[in-house]
Amino acid sequence: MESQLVYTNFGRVKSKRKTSHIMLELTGALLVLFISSIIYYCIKGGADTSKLMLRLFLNTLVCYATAFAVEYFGVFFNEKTEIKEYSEVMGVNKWLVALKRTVTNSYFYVTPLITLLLFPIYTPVYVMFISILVGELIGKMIFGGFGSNIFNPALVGRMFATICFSADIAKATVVKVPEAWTISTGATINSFAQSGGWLNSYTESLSNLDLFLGNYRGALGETFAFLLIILGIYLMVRKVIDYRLTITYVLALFLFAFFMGLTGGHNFGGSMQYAFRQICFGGILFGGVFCLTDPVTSPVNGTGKVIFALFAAFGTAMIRYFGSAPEGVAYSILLANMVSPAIDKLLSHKTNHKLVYQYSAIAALSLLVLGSGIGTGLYVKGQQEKQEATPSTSTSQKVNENINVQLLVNSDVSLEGVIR
Amino acid sequence: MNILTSIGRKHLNGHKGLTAEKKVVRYDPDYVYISATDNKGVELQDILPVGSKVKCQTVLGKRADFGIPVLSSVSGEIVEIKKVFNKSLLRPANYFVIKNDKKYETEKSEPVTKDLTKEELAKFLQDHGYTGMGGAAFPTFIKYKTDAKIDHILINDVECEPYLTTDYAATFEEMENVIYAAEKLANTMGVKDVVIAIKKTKAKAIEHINNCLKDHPLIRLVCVKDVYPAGYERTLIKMIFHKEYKALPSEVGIIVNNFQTMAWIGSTLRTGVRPTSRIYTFSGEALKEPQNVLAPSGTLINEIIDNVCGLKATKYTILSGGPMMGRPLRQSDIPLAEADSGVTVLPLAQLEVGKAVPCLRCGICVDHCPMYLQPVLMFQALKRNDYNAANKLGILSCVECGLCSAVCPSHIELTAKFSASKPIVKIKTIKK
Repeated sequence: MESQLVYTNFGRVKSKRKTSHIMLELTGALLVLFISSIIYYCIKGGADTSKLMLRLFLNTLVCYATAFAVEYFGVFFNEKTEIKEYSEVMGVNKWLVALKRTVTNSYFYVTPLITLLLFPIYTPVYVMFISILVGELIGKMIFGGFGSNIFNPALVGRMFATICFSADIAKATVVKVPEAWTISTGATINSFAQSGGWLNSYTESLSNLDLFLGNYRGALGETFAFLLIILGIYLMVRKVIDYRLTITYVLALFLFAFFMGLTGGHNFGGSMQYAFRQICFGGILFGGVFCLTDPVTSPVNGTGKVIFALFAAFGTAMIRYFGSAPEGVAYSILLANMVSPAIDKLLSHKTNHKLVYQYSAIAALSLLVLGSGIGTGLYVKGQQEKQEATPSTSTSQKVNENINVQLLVNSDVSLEGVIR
Repeated sequence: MNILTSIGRKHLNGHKGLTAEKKVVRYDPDYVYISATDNKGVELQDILPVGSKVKCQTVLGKRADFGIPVLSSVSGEIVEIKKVFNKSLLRPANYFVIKNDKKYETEKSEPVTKDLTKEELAKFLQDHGYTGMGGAAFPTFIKYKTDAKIDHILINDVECEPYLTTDYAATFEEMENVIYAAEKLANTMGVKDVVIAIKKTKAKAIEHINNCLKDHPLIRLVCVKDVYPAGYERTLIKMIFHKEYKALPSEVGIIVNNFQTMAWIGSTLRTGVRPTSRIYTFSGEALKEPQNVLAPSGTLINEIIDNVCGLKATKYTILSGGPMMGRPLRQSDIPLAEADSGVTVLPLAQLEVGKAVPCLRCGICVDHCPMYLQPVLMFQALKRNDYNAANKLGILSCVECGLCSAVCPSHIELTAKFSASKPIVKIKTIKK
């Protein structure tokens, strides 16, 4: 055979790591979390296990079916011309081409899994359906599919559900909670902490170890702090997620809570414990590992990533300690997603000539986070002292009464998730 | 390692074993083709007429842009001047065709023994037509014609491009000349510190250089990490001296020369003979016998491939240079220039074409760019044909090192897109 010189400018040196590998590894980590939560509810679910599992099965089915349908048609309409060309050249049916692209180019399997993990286990099916529909359609496909979206699709869906169906999620009170559970009352542990004024924890019944291992209820994925830390480290080492985002976010919130504890009247050890507990409950670890690190919606620049994470941490802290909602992870990540294109624009062209600005921006934001931590501690302490001056209206007593009442009645339980 | 800097992160598979330990093979072509234009396509001045007898080192004409002469690489006769494809201009241009009588007679000049002044040195470099041999062919005399205070001379023997081993092969043969040139130039420029930079993985070459440097306290050897693009002078200066500059390294008191340029300068100073043949690496998996070939500049690529190396693959692609920065060729009867380091011939089966998936904006290209640019943002701007935005993002500063394409997990061809778009960006932004 005659040898032939071919001109091509493509594909000479290529990294072994592919985007599909990254996505599969991320999905693997999410699956580990998902399966461990199934196991947990199987063990701790008691008489309601079958009910819980059936609901979870239905939710999973609905999530995946909806996500696939939306992405399939989204891909078909977004990439009309490419699919047509490809099917004409290769002689393959264009619907099949779209099917292949949904899996290889759009990675439809990640978002529904994150969405499932963001909700508590007994969420009504229609809530799940609408939230995944909104997340996929408005959060992802309308912008042009994978790689073009501004907001994290799963969080968009979750926020929509939180705003529209908070009552429905809270009313999901069919399951009676067995006494073996550590927290046997309706509200989530964060709303206790909030009504208790944050500093005096009303969650003492939940031991540090239980909190760390995830032996309590919450949204499916967020309770297993220990597992989340291990998965986070694994994903960071494997470079699936960017270590700068997660570490900055979690560390900033830890230091915020630490300084808040110090100025709020705890001693050093007490503050450490307080900060540790603050990190472990709520969606901080889950959000920091799986939501904030979504590469599509975070800045591309290293400095940008640090600034982005600090911004998100500041938002989380402000919403958590001052807002009406007990949690701010989802809100703050969506807010940070919004500023990420602006960060990209500011940190462009030859960034080595702007190092001073970069360092000072990081330093200023860190100072802001730490300073507001100190301020928040003082503020919360002041509020508490005010309340203690008038004992009849003390929130703590109220809450205690509430708990007692609920314990006595052993009432039905709201399954509201913690990530809002 | 600073989390904000983006150099020195990527180690590439060098593929250097194909040719590294092989003996240099000599090849004498019957005809050589020397460019009769400068790098911008302007005709040379004072061109020798067809039919003149030439020796090695005979001046064929003078380049209009820098006034440096173009020298014949063989002795013989100019047969004709004809249009041959010029790979740096990407179009056919005039070439001297010189019939080689294979005697290699030279027009010898006097060896330089006395100390040169700065002006004499610049004139010496200009008259002998030195251009950088690392690939960019930057005229050497301009580097030395500077008023800035020079503190270091850096001899670049890093050769980070995969497959190429020409500097490595030259290291074992030219150390004497390099030392001679380095001491002479250091004396003239008042430099107290001459640095030879090499990758720390090249143990044999390091040992050889250390042996040669025993009695020369002025020159020191610095080993750098085996990363890409360690051999790019901006990166190298950042890695060794921790300095950054805008346009030329003389701004921070450093002159960078390629190892072989230095060797040629040394040879001319010492013996009066300016070499005109250099070592070209012919490597790649599509060749039967990859070799380091010593050939006069102006030899056709396909002659060496057919006569020295031999083809193995049925479908192959030829790159002038290595796989990272090299440009693909549309035809193989193209003459090699003095600045070329080699040719890589890759089988088509080894390449990966048309498997790109959408960008996930992971920012790994930003983490690696040696110019601290944002390839992902530039690519997005070019995708929507926004040439102004691409210009604002600094696409014209891109050096096309190919690292962003190599690290991209989505296997997007960023560098190819940039090099294709740069001329359009230039035109579009000049109009405004």
